[in-house]
Amino acid sequence: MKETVIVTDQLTKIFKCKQGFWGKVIEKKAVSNLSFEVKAGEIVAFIGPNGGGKSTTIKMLTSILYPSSGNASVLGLTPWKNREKLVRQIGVVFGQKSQLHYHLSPLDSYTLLAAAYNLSSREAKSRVHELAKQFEIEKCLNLPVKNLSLGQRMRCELIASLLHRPSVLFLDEPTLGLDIEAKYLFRSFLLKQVQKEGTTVFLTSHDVGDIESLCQRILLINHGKLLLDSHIQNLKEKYGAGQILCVEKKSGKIEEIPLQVPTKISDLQTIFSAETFSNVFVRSTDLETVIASIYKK
Amino acid sequence: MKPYFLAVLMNMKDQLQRERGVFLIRIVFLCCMILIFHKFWLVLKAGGSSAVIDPVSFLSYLTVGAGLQFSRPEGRVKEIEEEVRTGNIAYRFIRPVHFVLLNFCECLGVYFVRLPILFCIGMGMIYLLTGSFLPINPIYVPIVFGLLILSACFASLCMVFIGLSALYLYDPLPFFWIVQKCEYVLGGLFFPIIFYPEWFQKICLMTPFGWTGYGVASLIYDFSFEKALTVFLHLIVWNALLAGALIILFKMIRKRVCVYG
Repeated sequence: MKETVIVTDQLTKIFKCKQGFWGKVIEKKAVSNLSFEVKAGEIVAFIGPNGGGKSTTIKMLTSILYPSSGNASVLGLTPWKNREKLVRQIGVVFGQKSQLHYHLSPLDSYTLLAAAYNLSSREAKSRVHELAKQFEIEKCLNLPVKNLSLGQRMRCELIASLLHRPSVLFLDEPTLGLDIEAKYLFRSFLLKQVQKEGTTVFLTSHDVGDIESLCQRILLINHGKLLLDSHIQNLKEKYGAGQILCVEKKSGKIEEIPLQVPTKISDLQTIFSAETFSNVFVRSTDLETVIASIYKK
Repeated sequence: MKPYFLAVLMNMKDQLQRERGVFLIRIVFLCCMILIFHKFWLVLKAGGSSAVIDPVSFLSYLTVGAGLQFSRPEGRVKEIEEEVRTGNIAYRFIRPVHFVLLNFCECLGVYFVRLPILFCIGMGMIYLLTGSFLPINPIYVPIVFGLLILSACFASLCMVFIGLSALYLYDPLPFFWIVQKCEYVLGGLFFPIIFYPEWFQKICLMTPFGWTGYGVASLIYDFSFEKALTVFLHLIVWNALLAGALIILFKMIRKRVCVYG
């Protein structure tokens, strides 16, 4: 049986904010009694709407924030009590915050990081070379970070977080702002690497493509509460509308009817009889629709 | 300590690669300043004014004092301030390096490149203008330089402290401006504090600036081991006090950032 690497138990975070002229203190519950477990080697998507508490949870699990109450453990360590030990065993990528030195080259940042992670210079060199080759970023290693494109920078960020062979990788919206090709490259490189090294990945993203191509399991939160913990396939089966019949009319308009068993002929007749059509096809419910329907519910 | 040592080296390299333009302007500015004060001295001399110290000593004093000022990486204050104000400082906690120590080392890396170059260029300029070289025996220069590095340590700690205080002061740049002015006035960076009234000299020496500025710079024309030891002890005490205050401030910031987000 696989070892549990991330555990949260009734994890809660309440922020106190000052409001108005007199600075009246109001409390905002960002995360509320969150409990879940992640096993070693799993790739888990931690999703939810904006302000749902995803980033706050990741920050608590990576020792950036202290919780208001509850417990959490990552690799058997309490993040806010064993920060020094923990940060040597995890890798973190925040899509919106660069961990690399802006003016220096990625190689310089890696040298500094390798020393911080106690890697020998020989070990660091071979690891950087290996990852750079894998991520097809060798030519960018000596350019200043500020001169790199966003896609290249994100791949460099990922190398920085994988340098010390972390057991758990936390990714907070890593593909934010990337174009389709860069997203595709990022996902495929990441997947190859984590599968090769058996890294546990805890990912938050608003991009369903990230979730579908990388993750096996979804944790869905809203208002800081865990709404759902399910495997992607189960989620589609349970909450999706199954197969959908799509009828493309000559006007270009596409009408969709969820195919139920049995589907009433009368439902189809209204579409087919009203106008001539140019194409008919069947597609599965996409994950985005499933998630949106859960949010609605 | 390896990452911190590397941080010093990387910033030294960065100075020579990327910041060459900024540094060149500072070199030109130092040369202009030496030239202006040399002319000023000649005017005073022509007017029959009795000088307290000779021109070579005075210009050497200015070179050391101004060299320390022109070596300062002021931009670091703004960078730290921004990290604190935007909350990005929190993301630095996920790397196994100490934020304060890393920034301190990065500042020192800049000083390690700028200080010796400015010192040598300043001395060369003085030689061109006066025909004389160092006012003290050159074997004492390494000791003066060692003390200059201690002054640079104090200035680096000061910059990190001011940058971090953004969490409480919101805009710490006026505070930085005041510190700079104190360095010029209380540290005697325009004129050695021996030109000041005695009561004001005492006040200057009660502050760290009297030692980081005048204390070190005056050794370049009036060196004695006893004086050097006094300056050294004062610098150690002031550095230790500021480092202590900085550690407390950082702990407060860390707690505030981690608890309140």
